[in-house]
Amino acid sequence: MKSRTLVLMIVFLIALAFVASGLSEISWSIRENSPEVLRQTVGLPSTTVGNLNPSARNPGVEFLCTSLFDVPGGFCNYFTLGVPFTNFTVVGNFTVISINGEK
Amino acid sequence: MQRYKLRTLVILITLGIAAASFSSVAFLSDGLVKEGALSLKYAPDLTVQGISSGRQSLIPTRYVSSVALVPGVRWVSQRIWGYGNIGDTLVVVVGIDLDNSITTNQAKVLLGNSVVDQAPAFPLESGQFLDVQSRNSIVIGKGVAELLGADVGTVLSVLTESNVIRQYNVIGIFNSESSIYSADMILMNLESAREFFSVPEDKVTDLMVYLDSEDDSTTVSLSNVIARQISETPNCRILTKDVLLRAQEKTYSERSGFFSIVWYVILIAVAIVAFNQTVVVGHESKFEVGLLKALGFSTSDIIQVRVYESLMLGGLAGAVGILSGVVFDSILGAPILRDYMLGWANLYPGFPTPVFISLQTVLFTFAVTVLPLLFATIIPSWLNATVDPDIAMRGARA
Repeated sequence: MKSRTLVLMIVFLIALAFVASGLSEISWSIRENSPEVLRQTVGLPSTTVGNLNPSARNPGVEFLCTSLFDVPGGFCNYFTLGVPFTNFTVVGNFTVISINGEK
Repeated sequence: MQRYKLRTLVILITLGIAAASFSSVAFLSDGLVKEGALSLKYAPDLTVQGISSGRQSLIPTRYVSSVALVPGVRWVSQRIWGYGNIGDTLVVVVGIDLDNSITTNQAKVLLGNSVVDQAPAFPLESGQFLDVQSRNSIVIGKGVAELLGADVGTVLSVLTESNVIRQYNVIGIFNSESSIYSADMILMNLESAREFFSVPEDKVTDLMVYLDSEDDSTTVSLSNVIARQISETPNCRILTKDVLLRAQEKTYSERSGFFSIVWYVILIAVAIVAFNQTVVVGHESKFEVGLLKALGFSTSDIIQVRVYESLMLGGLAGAVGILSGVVFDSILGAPILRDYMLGWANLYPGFPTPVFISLQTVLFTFAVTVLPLLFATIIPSWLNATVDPDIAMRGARA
């Protein structure tokens, strides 16, 4: 009897985990198919972040880059023409167009 | 399981902790990526920004007509936006061209160019949305409203960047459901934002470009082709949706990766503990195994019992871990973890943390709680089960 109860409890908990997953999948699916007029109007792809210090908003590997701010030596490609992950050819993306008169 | 309670409890607790730590990080990370992808769904296909001295700057409004003429571009909308602060709290001030926003244009396409009778359903808790005649009227996010104690009808006196005091009338407040992206927002029309940020008449912050493509699979390739053409325009850079999505995914993957290291260490420790416990228990259970074999149980029967035991133990630990992760993220709001993923000391605790309990993550969690345990128990069980019952019983007694 005790063993049976234990097995039933385990099955119930496992089922509960899958039910939670199912509900979450359905909930997100409904959200994805519902129009969000404000987001469409504003067009800003971001979530709310409410801290003024850029280094505080970017922990981990971004810390060194953003805490040095935009000063010489504090170069960070987030703030320049070199946007990461670009997968199209940027025309005119070179500062130096010739070296020693050679092109 | 009941017979060796201490061993069961040790394995259950350690596996449960490993599963809980992994699942809580995974659910939150998946939720943030999902939320980011959802926001990008409604973002413009291309965002054109100005560049000066290698840094982002304002973009001339004369580029609107040249960008709009690029084949494949459906329309272009101007936007002025930036950051302000209320004390130590960052707010986002957004000025939109209500005459030429995508929402207005889509409504005109559907209903014709006549007056749009049915206003789109903006997520407002109270008040109304901006209209074309709105001047010095703002709609604010719930976080801003709570921070300032403002309500519909409140008149805010704001010190702008150029140290000029301007007054804005709050005509609407966004609701809680949209807090994830609107809590820190102050929305106004384009000209009000121009005054707020002292932006010259011939400049805007960026251009929102929408393409003709209806199919997501062709949008990426089309946006890259058009982005290349627009990049010929001097002093501008282009952000595509694809770039922004990959940047978001990388950021949240990197941040969740720090916690994954902890989880891997815990998992390895659990596997070692489980193996060690099974070897010890295996030695103690030799008499039991010998007795079972003497009663007619075969080697495979004994191994089967141990496998079922491991499956139940792993399943229970996985389920407890997953449900703990769900409770930690959804109900408790993922304290500390959320701050790390979104940025330390963010001052808007009011918005619901996006959590996505994906089936893939649930199955993976069960796999990592069950499989290492199976591995850690099958080998000692097999070694135990293959010993002659007479020797096993005598050896155990001795």
